[in-house]
Order: sequence, then structure tokens, then C-alpha cells
Amino acid sequence: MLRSDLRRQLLKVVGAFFLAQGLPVAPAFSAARPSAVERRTFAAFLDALLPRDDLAGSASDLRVDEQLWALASLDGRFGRLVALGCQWLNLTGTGSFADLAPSDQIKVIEWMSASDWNQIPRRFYELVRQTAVETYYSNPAAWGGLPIKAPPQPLGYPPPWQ
Amino acid sequence: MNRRYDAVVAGSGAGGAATAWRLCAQGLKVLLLEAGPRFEPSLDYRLHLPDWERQVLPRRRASQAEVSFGAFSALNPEERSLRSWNAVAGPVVRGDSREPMGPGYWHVLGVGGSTLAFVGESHRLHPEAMKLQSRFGAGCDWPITYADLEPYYGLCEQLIGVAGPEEQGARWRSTPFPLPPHPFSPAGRRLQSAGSRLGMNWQANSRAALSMPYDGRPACNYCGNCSRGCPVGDKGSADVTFIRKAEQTGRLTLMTNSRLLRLHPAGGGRIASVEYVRGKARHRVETPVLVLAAGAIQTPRLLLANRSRQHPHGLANSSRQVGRNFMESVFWSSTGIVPDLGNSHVGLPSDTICWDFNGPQGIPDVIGGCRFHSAVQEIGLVGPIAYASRIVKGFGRALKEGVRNQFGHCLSVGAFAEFLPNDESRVDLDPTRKDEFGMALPRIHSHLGQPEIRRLRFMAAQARRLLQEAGASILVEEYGAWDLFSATHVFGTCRMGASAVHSVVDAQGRSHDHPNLYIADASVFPSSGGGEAPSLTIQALALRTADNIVSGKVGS
Ligand SMILES: Cc1cc2nc3c(=O)[nH]c(=O)nc-3n(C[C@H](O)[C@H](O)[C@H](O)COP(=O)(O)OP(=O)(O)OC[C@H]3O[C@@H](n4cnc5c(N)ncnc54)[C@H](O)[C@@H]3O)c2cc1C
Ligand code: SF4
Repeated sequence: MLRSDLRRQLLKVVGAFFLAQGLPVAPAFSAARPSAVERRTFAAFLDALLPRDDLAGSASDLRVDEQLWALASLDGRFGRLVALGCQWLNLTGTGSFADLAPSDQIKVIEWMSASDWNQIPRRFYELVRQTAVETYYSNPAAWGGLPIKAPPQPLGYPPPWQ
Repeated sequence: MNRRYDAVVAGSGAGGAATAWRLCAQGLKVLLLEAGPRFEPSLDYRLHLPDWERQVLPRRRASQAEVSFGAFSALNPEERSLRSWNAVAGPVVRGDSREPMGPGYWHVLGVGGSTLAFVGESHRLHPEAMKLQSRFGAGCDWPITYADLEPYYGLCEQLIGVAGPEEQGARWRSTPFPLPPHPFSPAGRRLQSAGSRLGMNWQANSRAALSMPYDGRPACNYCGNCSRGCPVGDKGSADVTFIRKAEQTGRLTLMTNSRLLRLHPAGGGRIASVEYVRGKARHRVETPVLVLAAGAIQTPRLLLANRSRQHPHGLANSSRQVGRNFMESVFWSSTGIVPDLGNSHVGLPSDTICWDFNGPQGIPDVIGGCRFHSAVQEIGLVGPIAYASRIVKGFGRALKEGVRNQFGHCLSVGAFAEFLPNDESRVDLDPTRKDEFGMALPRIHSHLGQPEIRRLRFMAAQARRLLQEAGASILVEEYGAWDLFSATHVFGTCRMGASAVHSVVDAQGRSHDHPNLYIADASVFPSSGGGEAPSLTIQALALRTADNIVSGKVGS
């Protein structure tokens, strides 16, 4: 499925999910001013999804977290899901998700990715992963190790091809 | 009210643009009303930006129309092998009935219409696909033959600059393609060699994309992203071909952001004038000839919505066939990872094609054929976002390494097939939802019959076989019409035919009911063809209709 349509479709699913769960879609949550705890939790989650390696920076190195907060401030459903997701992440250990050992963070996310499609952890994982990869790979700094070095135009990919 | 034009054409897509050019070229003054804006290729097609993958279609304000959908059929669990899925999301449809994918009806409102987003495959119909009923007892015959269209096909190919190979099997030609075929991309080459080992004939696809500079337009640079809009200008969308040529005559008045709303019939059934809205202002213009070319969803909507006491079922609808016989793309694609293939993202989308199964009897046990093509660029597997969203599962290091390791290794086999009209598939007016001008939305009802399911089964099996032969180690994605309504090709809602009882327009494209009303878009197709891309046929028909208008053979 084409990218931005995938995100739109996921957002629709999230909206329907909130309704089904009886949760308000536009809560008393201000994504314009997320708390420091939320910011830290979310950045840690994104960096576990897209960590730094030898060839490219992490999600937060590429400011994916800031761009997703900006999106959350524009879209109430997304903002609500992020807030609930961060809350849930911080209930998984003894303190903040950001303070868990990397191997424990991975275990938590693995669990989320296989959990019930109709519950918050899974919806949070799916939608945040989708939005994060779209944002991350829209930045050429993420393309290290890939055969593309520039957008398709203006040069195109003229033959001969290997 | 002002009468300054010899003809008014509504819609500047494949059909409307071709009609307008042909009328202008023969000396008529034409008013072309276009509901959408004019796109500026170098600004609107953002393939030069790092986030190009997020630009799906040229989406400008007001460049998509709202449509609604009737209930979709329930999915039969026994046919689950036809479900759509990918390695990341798993099943795409989680409910138990078909769903629209994205907007469902993919189209563009703008100068050039849906050709702005088209891939640019440029096909003639299989001659026998135009005679399904009389030869094979299925579907519906065209009231004209391939021979009637052949000279117009050639004319369109010359004007557009179609690149293709001489050998075209049953599609005989009286003139050569103006340009040589494009080189095979790595993905196309791989399918060709795998196909030949399976006894399939794969050949270069005929393409509305320039293999060398032509008529003041540059050659393609093989960026692989035609459906996001071509900033180079070599893709033969209607704006850079027919519209450009029509404007050069000095006889075209093109009104953008101008939506036709009302048709005003007068005595004898003639349409005396039309009313359109531009911004908030409404305008009325008289016309001796009206050509509707708003596409196979909007044209029937306009006719149905223009009902009155004299025309309680809408205009041109004494047959009650307006909106009936809706046909859509029956599509399939399978994608696999081929470890020893690289750079599958480069090259011209859909550069290779196999016509072996395209004739009406091409597929065992069902009437109506299909064709296969190389689909990896067409379905958007051209950048890391697509790989991370659809192909490489999971997160963390494994996700990033997976995207690096698999990028360029996807190979996709696509297929399109015949859709036989059925009673349930149609376009009508939504009883409750209206647009900002108070006109009811067009409502699309789509139902896949058993023949379509059979064709889908064949397409899926053949695509999987091909991928295996091409060296695919695993399948990573499959999409198809079984559970997704995702129509890029739509036809049939104002069928052409000899009988005024069973069709909406005659063999010249003229309404049986209104002597100066013509239809020149995909809605006139009596049958869909066995998977051929429709634009060239829409345009050839439109030129023929324009010639009939000019020669005054009919309707004067
Ligand atoms: C992603 C994609 C890929 C495709 N690939 C191919 C391909 O490779 N080859 C091929 O042959 N075909 C392809 N197609 C299909 C092809 O684009 C369409 O079949 C063709 O453009 C239809 O022509 P048309 O004239 O019927 O309608 P359109 O091209 O859709 O034109 C209709 C026009 O009417 C205008 N309009 C609508 N309502 C009004 C109104 N009330 N007043 C005034 N104007 C109005 C619209 O704005 C539009 O410009 C593709 C389509 C898509 C979306
Ligand atoms: S592949 Fe060629 S025709 Fe298609 S968008 Fe790129 S340059 Fe244009």
C-alpha cells in the first residue's frame, strides 16, 4: 500500500478503536506541550525502533521524535495514542521505559509487536513504527548503506544498468 | 449568456484532451471546462525532494473528487489464498468483506486528468476482446471493430510519441511506432528470462514515455516514478501532448477549476447550454455541441444528477443504462525477494509485458484474458520507506539492516484482467451525501463475479510460478482485487452500442437521446479488454468521435 495512504488508513483504524473502547478521541492532552517524561519515553522508544549504527544515526539523531510531536499536535488521534502509549511504556518496568536496559526495551517492543491488534500497545507500535520509518527515511542522512544516494530526480537512473 | 464556441468539452483527461485537440485542429473553437487545476511539473512532482516517497499522487487542493461506496461483498474464506498481505502488516484487510484501498477510485482532477498519475502503458485492445458476446457468448460487443479504430490508434501514438516493439501479435498495425522500445530494466530483464524458461513470451511494453527526444520533449531518464507525476515531461500525459497541441492551434479556451454542474436541454432533446461553477461564480454558456469527458464515475453522476420533470431518470438515460455495467481493474501483484537481483528500483515502470493469456480464451475455463507485466516500480517499491513499511518486518538493528540488505532485490509480477459487467456493479447517486454545490456524490457499487475470481486465481498462480523461476527465495507481498477495491482503470457506465434500449451512446459516441450530446471518456467502453491499459483506446475513440462531430455525419 502506498505510504501516506497507509498512515491515513492506520489513523482511521485508531479513531475507530478509540470509539470502540469508549475513549474520547480528543482528550485533555496537550501534544503541543508534552511533559519531559513523555518526551524522554517517546525518544527512547523511537531510538529502539531505529537505533544508531555505523552507517546512519538513530531516530532522535535525525530529529524524528520532534517531527512526530509536531504531527501529534496537529492530529488529536495520533497525539492521544502517543500519550497513552507512553503511559503504557512507563508501566512496563519499575521506572521509565527510557531507563530500561536496551535488551529489556527490545523485549517490551517484541511483546507489543505481537500483542492483541485491538489493544493500545499494538496500535501504538504499528502506527508509531509506520510514521517513524516514513519520517526517518525521508532524510538522506538515513540512506547510508543503501544504493540510492539522491532522490530520483533530476538525474534519474540512466542506463546502462547492472 | 454568451455563445462563442463551436463545442464545449467537459473534462481534460485522456478523452477530453484528445477530443479538444482534434476539434481545434479541424478549425472548431472549443471551450474546455476542467474541474481541477493546472499542474506545474517542476513544482508539483516532487521527485527531487528527499521525501519523494511520501508524495503519492499530485495532490493539490481540489485535485481529487469525493466518492462514496455501496456495501462490498463478503469474502469467501475458501478463497483466502487471494488475500492481500505484506511481510510487515500481515493481512491488509482484517474484516470479512472487501474494502477500498486508499481512495478506492484512483484519479486526478486537473489538466490532463488521471493521465497525470498514469504509468503510461499505451495499449491497443485485442481485436477479439471487442466481440466477446458474438464470438464467445459473454459480456458485450462493441458496435465498432478494431479496424475502425486502427487509424486513430496510429494517430494517437504519433502525437504522444509511443515507444514500442514492432511485434504486436493480434494487434495488427498499419503504421510503425514512432519511437523504438525502451531498454529492459534489471527487473524486466529478470522476468523476461524466467518467463522464457517457462515458455512465456515477454517483450518490451509499448509505453507513452519517450525513448528519445521527440516533438520538443526530452527523453525519459528512467527514474521509475511515473505515478507520482513526471517532472521531465517525457511521459505522454494528456497535458503535455493533446492539450499542448490544442493550445498551439489558438482555438482552445481552457477554463481550469471550472466544474460543469448543469446541462440545460431544449426542444428536440438538444442540450442548449451548460452551467459551470468557477470559484463561487456560476456561468452559463450556450453550445451547439457538448462532449462529456469527466471519466467513468463523474460522467454518469452528472447525467443522473441532471434529472428533471422531463427527464426523471436523468439525461441520456431513456435506456436506464447510465451508471450500469461498471467495470474496474481486476488486478494482482506478487512480490518476492530475489537475492542475486540488484537495482530493481531503476528503469521505466512496467517496461516488460507478456500478452500470452490476453485473448478472450487465454485463460482456461473462463472467457476473458489477462496480461502480466513487471510491476516493481509501478507498485512503489522504489525507496527505503516502501521497504521498511511493507517488506522488512520488525524493528531495531534488524529493520535497518534488512532495508539495506533487501533494497533493490524485490521483483514483482503484476497482472490485469478482463472484468465482465454484472448487475451489482454500477455507479448511482448517494441518497444522503452531497458535495459543496449540493450535488449528490457518485456512489460506486462493485462486485466480483465468479469469472473474475477464476481469473484472479490464474493470475496469482502464474505470478507465483514466475517468481519462483526467477529465483525468488521468499514471497513478501501480494495485493489483489479479491479483498481490495483499488481501481485505476474504470469503464462502462455509459456503454456504447447499436441499440438505444441497451446502451447510452451510439457507435459515434453520441447520446441516443440528445442529438448534440457526446461522451468521449472511458464510460463508453462496452467491455474492458483482457487487461489492456485503457488510455490509448479512450483517445482513439475520442478522435473518432471528434471526426464524426466535425464531418457532420451525425447530429447537425
Ligand atoms: C495510478 C494510475 C495509473 C494508471 N496507469 C495507466 C497506464 O499505464 N496506462 C493507461 O492507459 N491508463 C492508466 N491509468 C488509467 C488512465 O489514467 C485512465 O483510464 C484515463 O485517464 C481515463 O480517462 P478519462 O478521460 O475517462 O478520465 P480522466 O482522465 O480521469 O479525466 C476526467 C477529467 O474530467 C474532469 N472532470 C470531472 N468532473 C468534471 C466536471 N463536472 N466538470 C469539468 N471537469 C470534470 C477531471 O478533473 C479530469 O480531468 C492509470 C490511472 C491511475 C490513477
Ligand atoms: S520513469 Fe521516465 S516517464 Fe516515468 S517519471 Fe521518470 S522520467 Fe518520467
